Amino acid sequence: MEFKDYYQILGVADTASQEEIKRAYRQLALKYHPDVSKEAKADARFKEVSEAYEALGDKEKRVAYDRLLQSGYHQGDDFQPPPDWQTQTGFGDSGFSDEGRVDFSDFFSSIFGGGFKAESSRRRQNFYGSDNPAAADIYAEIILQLVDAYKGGEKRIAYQSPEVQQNGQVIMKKYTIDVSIPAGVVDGQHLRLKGLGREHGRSGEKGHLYLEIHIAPHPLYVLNGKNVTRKLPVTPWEAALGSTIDTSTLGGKVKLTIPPGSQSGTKLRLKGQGLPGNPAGDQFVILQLVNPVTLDQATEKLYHQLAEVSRFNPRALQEEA
Amino acid sequence: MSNHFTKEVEQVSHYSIVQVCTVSAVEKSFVVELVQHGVVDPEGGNTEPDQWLFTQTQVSLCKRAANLHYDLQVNIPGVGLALQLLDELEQLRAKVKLLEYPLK
Repeated sequence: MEFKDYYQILGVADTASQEEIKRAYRQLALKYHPDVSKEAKADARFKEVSEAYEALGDKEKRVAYDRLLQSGYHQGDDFQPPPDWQTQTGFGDSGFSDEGRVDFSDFFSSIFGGGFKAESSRRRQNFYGSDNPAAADIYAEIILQLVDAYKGGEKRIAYQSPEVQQNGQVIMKKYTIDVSIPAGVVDGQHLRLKGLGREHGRSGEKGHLYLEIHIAPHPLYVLNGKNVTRKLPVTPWEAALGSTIDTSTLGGKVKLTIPPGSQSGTKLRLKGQGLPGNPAGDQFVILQLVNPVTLDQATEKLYHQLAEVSRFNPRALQEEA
Repeated sequence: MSNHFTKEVEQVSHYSIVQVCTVSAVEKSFVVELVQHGVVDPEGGNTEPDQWLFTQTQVSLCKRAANLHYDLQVNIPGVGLALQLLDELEQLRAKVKLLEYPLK
């Protein structure tokens, strides 16, 4: 596996004080937190930074890590933990259960064992031992294309569930399930699949599997709940004279009436043409006036005529002021 | 149970506080605090927590609140403020995407 230079990841010198390391971590965490950041690959960067801080923010772990670094490893080098690592440092794979564990790299686990994060682990404490049957529910996420959310339809999902073998060993058994996605699901919505959760400790009843829907961004439509919005290019004369033009919606082509005197930015509504439901969402269309970049002779002549005849001055108000 | 099968789904419209806790991996007391600070406003917010009903939007709000609180050590009022600003930012970004040139 690859050796990771945690100092490099946090952008600090290996002589940095604990205080400096904490400060560097906090700055990077704010920058890359996936709930806040729009940076590319924020999620991966945040994990990397958290892992680096988990190693260097703890004095004992840092001392152990520094010993590895001093033995000549660099970022990206091939790495195997020394054979006597665990007895010398007290770190190593300690066989923690997976519950509440954060997703650290193999490199981290190989030197420090199960990646328990002090703050994160607090979150789940006592929860799985709870008497409440909802504790046996499982949550998973699926990503849908916008058209699939609109139309609904069959979706095949892969799923694994722990199963006790005859010899008492627990294995993860893999399944595929065909589920029929209802038309008009929205981003963040949950679908319940009864009885596919884990077994509840006390009652032995099975919990449910919840699928959280995520709708992938669409190149044309911007989604907001059940409403979708798109921009629609129109010619200056279509906007000035008003016109009826063909435009696409999630459900297919429709005729859209543009009122005379429309502007760039004019917002029109196609009622009920968003995601289906009760009530269905709407589709909004934002007009954008586009001028021809080159003019053929006939068009150019007409524009000249227009310039002579028209008394329209869009700057009139500005000049008065 | 064979390795491949078809399963009926049910649409979920409201969530109990226990479900919110499972989704967000937090303790009940954390969700109660979010509600007390007005970060989320479930239906029946004046009754006992076990009676509260959360919408799907409120569940994702709780999840994000938990991430901000535990990952970045933002306190609860700060979480409320951050979520409000992030929501505004998201709406503005969507608007900009629709208004900006060149056309795609």
